[in-house]
Amino acid sequence: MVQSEAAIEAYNAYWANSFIPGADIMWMVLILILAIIALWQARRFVSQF
Amino acid sequence: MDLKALKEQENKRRVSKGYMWALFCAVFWGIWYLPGTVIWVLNPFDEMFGAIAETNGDAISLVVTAALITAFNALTVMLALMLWNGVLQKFGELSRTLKEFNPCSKWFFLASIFGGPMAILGSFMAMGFIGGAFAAVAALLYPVIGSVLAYYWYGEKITKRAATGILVIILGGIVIFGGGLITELGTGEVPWIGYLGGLMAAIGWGIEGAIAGKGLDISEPDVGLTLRFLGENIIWWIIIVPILAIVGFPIYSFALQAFEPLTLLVLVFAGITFGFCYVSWYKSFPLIGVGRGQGIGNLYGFFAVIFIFLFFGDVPQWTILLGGALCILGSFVMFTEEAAEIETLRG
Repeated sequence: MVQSEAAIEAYNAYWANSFIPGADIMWMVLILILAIIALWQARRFVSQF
Repeated sequence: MDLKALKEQENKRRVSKGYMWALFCAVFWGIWYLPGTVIWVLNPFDEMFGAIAETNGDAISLVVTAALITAFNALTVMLALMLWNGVLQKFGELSRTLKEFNPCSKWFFLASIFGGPMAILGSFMAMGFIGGAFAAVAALLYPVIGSVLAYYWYGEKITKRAATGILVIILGGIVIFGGGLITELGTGEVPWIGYLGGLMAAIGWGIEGAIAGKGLDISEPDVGLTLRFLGENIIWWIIIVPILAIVGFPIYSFALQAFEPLTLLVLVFAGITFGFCYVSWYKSFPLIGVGRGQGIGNLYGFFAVIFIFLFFGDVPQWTILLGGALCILGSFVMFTEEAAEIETLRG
């Protein structure tokens, strides 16, 4: 199934009022950065404890 | 440096790492509400909701759609946890813990019942009927349930400071629920099923934390949490989804349609945030205790409101802001407790 026009419109509407430029992409970038930091901390934790 | 000073230093390190993991949990949980909210408008879930609502009404349709979204969420969390365990090289430990059903894995499978069908589904119901900001803060009462259970079950210490923090969180919860109810009673529209979802989330996550605390006495949090999600996937994909199909909902046909690039992308990011949030939550329990881990994890309400405000531009109602602020204040009362006070977690 491909996304209907209404679904894409509703999806884009969520990011339309955002305070962050390119919010529809930036939320994923932010999650990836946080995930990498968490994995790095977990590796450090394993070596310390 | 003498032995006592070394012990104190080690204890401080343990406590600070515990709070760090609880904070990671809060940040990931807060940001999870972005994919957790937008997934509802994407197909097949949007069309599924409409199709089932035509024949069975909005309420049943919402619960069935939430069940399928939660099942997919559990599946993508499992993928994220495989990545986590792979990076930490824990697959050997995972298989060892899985084989030890009676002492170890039974606790995590039990935790999955309360965390999955009860808490996560409840959270989706609150989100669908009322909204993302409400769902994020509605479950803030869960550390009360978790710490009281942990205290009575296996004697986890609750200091006066921790109890004060819990009390402030209760006040925050009352403001959140009460404020919303008064506003909606005034308009004559009270979505009770949304409030029921919020309550399910609070009770479910509280019980899950206490059960997990017991299991984590004898196993690693990274693998323990993976087994908990293995249990949740079994519950959704082998028990609940087939039951929903048997009673006549076209759940398999919509499940197959979920393999669409944008839907999958959003589900994967929901899995990463939820999986990493949960594993951080479990990692904090053996270090600072279930009550404190859940208390600091409670900051997710604050982060959710911030992320929803930043990315969606939604300004939350003043009652949600006031209640959320009280919950955060309660969490910080616990956070500022002296490390020496929690040198031993059990009374």
